[in-house]
Amino acid sequence: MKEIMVVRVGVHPFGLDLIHIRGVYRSGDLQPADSKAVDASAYHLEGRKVDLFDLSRALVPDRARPDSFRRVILMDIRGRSVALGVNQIERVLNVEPDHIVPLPPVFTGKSRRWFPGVVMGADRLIPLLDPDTLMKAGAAEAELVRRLQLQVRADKMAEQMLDGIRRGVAAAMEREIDRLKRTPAATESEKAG
Amino acid sequence: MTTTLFRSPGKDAAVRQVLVIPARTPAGSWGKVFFMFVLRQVTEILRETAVRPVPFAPPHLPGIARWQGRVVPVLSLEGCLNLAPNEDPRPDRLVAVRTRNARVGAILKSDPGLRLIRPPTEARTADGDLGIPPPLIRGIYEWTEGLLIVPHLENILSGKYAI
Repeated sequence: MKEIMVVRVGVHPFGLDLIHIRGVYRSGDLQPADSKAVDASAYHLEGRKVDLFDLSRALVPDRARPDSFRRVILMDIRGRSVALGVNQIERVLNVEPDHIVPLPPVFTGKSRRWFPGVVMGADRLIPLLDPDTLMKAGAAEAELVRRLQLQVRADKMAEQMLDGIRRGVAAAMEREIDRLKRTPAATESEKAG
Repeated sequence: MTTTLFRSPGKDAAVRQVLVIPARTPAGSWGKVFFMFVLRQVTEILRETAVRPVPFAPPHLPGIARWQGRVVPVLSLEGCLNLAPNEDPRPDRLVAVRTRNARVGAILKSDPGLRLIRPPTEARTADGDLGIPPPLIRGIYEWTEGLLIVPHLENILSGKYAI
């Protein structure tokens, strides 16, 4: 028997092997890490820093994507952790090994990498998420968020520098205008003298 | 070139039939395009079935379904064979098919105008190039109503020649 946690992402159920799941939390349990830190994409969960990967952003088309996830699943895979955002935890299924079958081979590429297997439930089919792919995708997204945040920070610094230059130029122009205003007066006084 | 499509000199030759499904692709100078299956490949024509989408799959693979205790792909042959799509508002027919060795099955989303015909005993191999990768078909033949495509289900379902 295998224990499979069934989670809902958008409107569809997906399966996760329970063996990799360390805990289930509410989304409010996630505490953003120090926003001034370089890795501001990271969150604190259960006293440890983890990267968050919102599954609905990866699996659900834009038009059907829910506003936000409600549950967080902490997964440990080969010593690395990732927090998965899902919309709902349905239940844990005890599945006979022969009820987990490969995805038909006509599905190739990303579909196959993410869902190598399918759970044949009593009344429905549940694609089984591949933990290694999840881990890679989670790490890739975290890296992307980090880079974006670094870029935003660099943009802010550039904006501050530009702002400083603008103010400096404006002050210099004001001084120059003042000087020019004073210059004719001096000429008049010279004439008078 | 004339090729014998079916050679069945036995006593059941008169009753042997094949399933012909209109392809939902624009007609060309050759006329309409049809897919043809021998009846032993066609297991069932379904009114409806629950199709479970698989994320990241191309549009011609709308998902998977449970059929006869197995998980089978649901697919559109037109997309699998790289034929230009033709929008059709009519509801699909779902045709459960299996490969010749019966090891692999699939459910085809097909045009509702499918029908059984007595196969032509002789047909000319078509010269036209429909842009279909050769491993995905067993042959294309000229027919009175257009072109008959015999899909190579084993190769299509193997995923080795995915478009």
